[in-house]
Amino acid sequence: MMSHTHESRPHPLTTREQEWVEQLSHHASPFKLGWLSGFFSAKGLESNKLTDSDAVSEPAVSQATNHPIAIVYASQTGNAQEVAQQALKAHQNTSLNAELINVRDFKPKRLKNETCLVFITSTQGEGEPPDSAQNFFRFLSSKKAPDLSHLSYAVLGLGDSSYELFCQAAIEADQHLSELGASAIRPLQTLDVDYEEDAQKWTQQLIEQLKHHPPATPGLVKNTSTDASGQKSALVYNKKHPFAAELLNNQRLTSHRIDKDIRHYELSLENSGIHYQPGDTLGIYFENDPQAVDDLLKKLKLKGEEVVSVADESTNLRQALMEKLELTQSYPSFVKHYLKYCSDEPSRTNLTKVAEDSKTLRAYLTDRQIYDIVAEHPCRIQAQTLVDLLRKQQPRLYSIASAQSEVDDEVHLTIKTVAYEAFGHHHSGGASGYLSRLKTGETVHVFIQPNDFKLPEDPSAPIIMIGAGTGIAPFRGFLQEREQNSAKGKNWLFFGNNWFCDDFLYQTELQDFINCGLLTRLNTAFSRDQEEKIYVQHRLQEEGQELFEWLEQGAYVYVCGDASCMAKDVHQALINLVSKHGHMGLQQADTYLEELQLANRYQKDVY
Amino acid sequence: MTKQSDNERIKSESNYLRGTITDALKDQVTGAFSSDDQQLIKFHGFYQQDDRDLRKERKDQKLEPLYSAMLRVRIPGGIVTPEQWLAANELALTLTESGSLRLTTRQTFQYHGILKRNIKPLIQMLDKVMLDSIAACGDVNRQVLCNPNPVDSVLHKEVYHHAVQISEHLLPSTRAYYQIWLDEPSQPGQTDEEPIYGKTYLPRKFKIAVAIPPHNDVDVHANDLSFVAIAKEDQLLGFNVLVGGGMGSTHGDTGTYPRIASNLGFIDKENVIPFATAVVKAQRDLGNRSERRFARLKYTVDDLGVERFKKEVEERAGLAFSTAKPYEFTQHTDRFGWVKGIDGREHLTLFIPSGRIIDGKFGQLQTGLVKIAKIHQGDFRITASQNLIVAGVPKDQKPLIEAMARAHGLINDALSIHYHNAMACVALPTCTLAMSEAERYLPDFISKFEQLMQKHGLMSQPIVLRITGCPNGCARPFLAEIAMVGKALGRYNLYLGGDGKGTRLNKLFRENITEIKILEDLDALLGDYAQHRQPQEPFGDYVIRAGHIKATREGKDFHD
Repeated sequence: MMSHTHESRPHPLTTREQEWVEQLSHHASPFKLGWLSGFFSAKGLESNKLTDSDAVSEPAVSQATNHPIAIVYASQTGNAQEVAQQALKAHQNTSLNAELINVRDFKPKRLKNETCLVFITSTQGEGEPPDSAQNFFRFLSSKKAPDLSHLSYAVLGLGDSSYELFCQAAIEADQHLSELGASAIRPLQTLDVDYEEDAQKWTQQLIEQLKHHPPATPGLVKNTSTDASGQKSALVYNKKHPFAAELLNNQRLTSHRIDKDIRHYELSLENSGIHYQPGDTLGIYFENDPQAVDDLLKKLKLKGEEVVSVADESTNLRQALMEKLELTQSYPSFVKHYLKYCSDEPSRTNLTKVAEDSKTLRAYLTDRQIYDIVAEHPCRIQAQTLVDLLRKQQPRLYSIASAQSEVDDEVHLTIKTVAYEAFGHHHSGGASGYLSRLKTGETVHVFIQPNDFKLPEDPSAPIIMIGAGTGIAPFRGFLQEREQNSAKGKNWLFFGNNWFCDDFLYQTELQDFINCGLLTRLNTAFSRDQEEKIYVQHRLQEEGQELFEWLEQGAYVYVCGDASCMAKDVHQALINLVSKHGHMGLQQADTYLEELQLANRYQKDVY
Repeated sequence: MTKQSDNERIKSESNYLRGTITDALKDQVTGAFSSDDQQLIKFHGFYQQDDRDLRKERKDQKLEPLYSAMLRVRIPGGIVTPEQWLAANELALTLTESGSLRLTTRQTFQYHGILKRNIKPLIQMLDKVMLDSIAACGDVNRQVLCNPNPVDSVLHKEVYHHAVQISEHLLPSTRAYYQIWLDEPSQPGQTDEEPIYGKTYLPRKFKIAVAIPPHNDVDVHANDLSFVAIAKEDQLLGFNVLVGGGMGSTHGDTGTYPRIASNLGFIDKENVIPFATAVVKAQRDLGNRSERRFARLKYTVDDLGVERFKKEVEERAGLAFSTAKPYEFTQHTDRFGWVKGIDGREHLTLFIPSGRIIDGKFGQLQTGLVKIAKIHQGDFRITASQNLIVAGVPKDQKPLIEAMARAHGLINDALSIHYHNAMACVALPTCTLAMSEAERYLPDFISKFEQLMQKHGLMSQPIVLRITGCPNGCARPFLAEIAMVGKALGRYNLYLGGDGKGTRLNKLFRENITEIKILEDLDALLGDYAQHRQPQEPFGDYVIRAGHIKATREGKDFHD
């Protein structure tokens, strides 16, 4: 019957919706298209509202009633929650479709897709929002906050007028929303401790207004003009042409109770057209520490203003040392050439001796940066000679810690800041030191370096992720991707570091992944929390039986972290557990893992 | 029937206080207990807290709050041996983030900052020195107070014995504590029973004190149930039984109030256990289980009326009260320094600022007490004002112990009486309820208060001053002559007019004010007091006589 009448009816989608579907399908892989067709047909089945007649007769209203009004509450003592629950009930008694959400569980990015927001918040003693709402407020006042001109909203504040900043949180929320372009359905209302009756009245009035002016159709997806126009994407960014990405967030992840400094960085790829996959790496160009450059110049009695040429480009020495040349990673050839210029005999002899034996030389170079070699062996050298001796700076590669399906045009990194005192001098890492010194709003030159470390194509395949320290980075991207794709496969993470309280990277995010059911299992090992050292490989052993079962179910295994110890120990642990629980010899277990590797089911990203 | 509070469900589903605590100890993802378990762990002696100073910073670091446990030890009457002291101190050093013990107003010590993985080892080590934390918190009878007075050694010994008996008799019967923390195997077919409490225990916490007049250091009016010893010379006859005292109230809720206990009458000393059990059972049956704010015994007594409640107790005890015997409290605070007991032994009461046994600005208190414990032949007694008595010192050791105490700041003549008469609760950063600073702020406030006292020539006039971070009343603020109760950071409600002996409640004088305003008000009041007071007239009495504040006669007119 449908097909019979189909042609005589108008197209079920508006022109804009048609364009949108076109765009969506244009960029989608065959796999995504398959997924989408299933998704839409399931949606059609589950929603009896989405019949032809509805869609045609009243498209706007059906959209409006389909997309629920988001009643979001931020409660400290439960009052705001109670009011929100009553508001939900009141909505449910009408034809309005509403949804109740604790602000803690409300991803602020959702605002882009909401049409109507009812926000009910209390205020804490010092005029602060409740703890649960801190992320939400931070987002609203951050650079990330999107344009909200599609959004209608109403804010209700509960407070205690004996405090100086009465209902401050509500006032701020109202201000932020309005500044972002959202339109208020009702003016902000603030209520004192005897709020019950007024809150009810407020809800009733709100409902009356909503009934008469239902919120507009959601702006399905933001206009993707930059992609569609083709103008911007004509510029392809790569290693040769890195993109100047704005730093949006530079956040320490380790507690201040320890010296170890691991940071979470968020960079903006807005308008770059850059796409990456979870598991890819990001190349970072950096500047050397200005203090270290000054120290080096001083040691060599050079001014820095000397004109030099680097790769046929003319610049001054200071700038060359800052931006173009390698100063943090020392290497044998530098020593071998440098020693020729040593001004005093003893130090030249000494350095020559060191350079003779490659093993001695390697040992010497561990922990020593260019400055240390120069400081220990003074010399007189021309600016250009120095430039010619030094290697050109190579960008550093870091595993990407995000998935674009979650963070859109951002890219996140998890980086340990290298910093140590040695040989009477402060040392900092090249890229890691540079990034740690950057402030939000400054830019970094970056490019995507694709990597083979990839999620299984089959979203229902289980995955086992094993990461130590910053090795957790790609797994954060994996988890985001699998959450966004509603991938059915089970996810198991093994994470190791030093101290539970101090360097449990992304602890709260991982807890959220557990609570929402995405992360099936999480085992942690903190080596220094007890007398005997416990590492991830010990947890693998403990869970051997179940791990082996996962492998037999087709699980993919991913290992990320330090190459020298962790990856080897993990590999051995895997052999042992396969041998034990698969009832096979060690040789056979080794072959078992090799086969996994061949089938791309055992992938490593180690450094 | 009105809906029961969620705590009732938690208790009832807990399988006699087990909940999922054992699983929580194995969890590798969080240092916290589930919200249900957080209610149950109290019955095992500890609360979950977190370092509130670090909350925001850790949130940004994507780390959960720095959760840890605050554990109270059950020490009926507050007496520990030197060996126990040394062991307890060692545990603080090795298994807590704070590295120290804190004496409390319930005559015990508590540990702050026990990470989840350290709780079990700590409880096991306590067990090795015959200490436990069973029912130190929770909806159950908690730590039993007893005047620690070592002077009248014969009478004290007998009364103390009763306190210990009450504590033991009212312990929960469940084996949960032993199985979870001490790895006691569960016997096949063994089932738990709670003959006194039933499986939902009490509606709310329950506090018992045993007082020996003229000392009211245990604050009978801050306890749900008090036994006031009646003696003839050194012979204990029995006790007056007082019920329904309590400090806690909620800001802005005039239905809640601190309350002075009611005297139900006299009982013979043989009947202490039956009457104690009967009061507990009456509260079990009649207490409010739907609103935890109104669940303390004081509200049950006021709801039923004293006479009706008395009958309920008598019915359950199968015994009747006799007419109350006269007694008088004249002592409320500790007297510092040496006293000699009737047995010839010497006793030294040490002032411990805010009960913190730490090496810090007040001296090497922790180190000093370890040194004393190593040679001490008597015992240590924790007072209800969070101070410490080195009790039972033979005459020949007195000079040595005194020298050690002085060398480590445990005796400090430079501290004025205003320190001695002041008390604060823990509050920030660990207490989850605190709305303002208390303990950390007290020394700073006292020095400002002393300037006022100096200005008005009142330096030798004792005034009982207390600061708490919230209105729950851990430092018993509502009995103080001057009390500051936290409202928000840097803001307090100011209360005046307690009698400083712990028998008359104070009343709200100013709401939600800052330090500047508090000092301004006190300046004026103290000036007025210095000029117009009568000889010996305490400040708390004067402000009432001069009409600055109305007297509070009983709990129900606290808000009038």
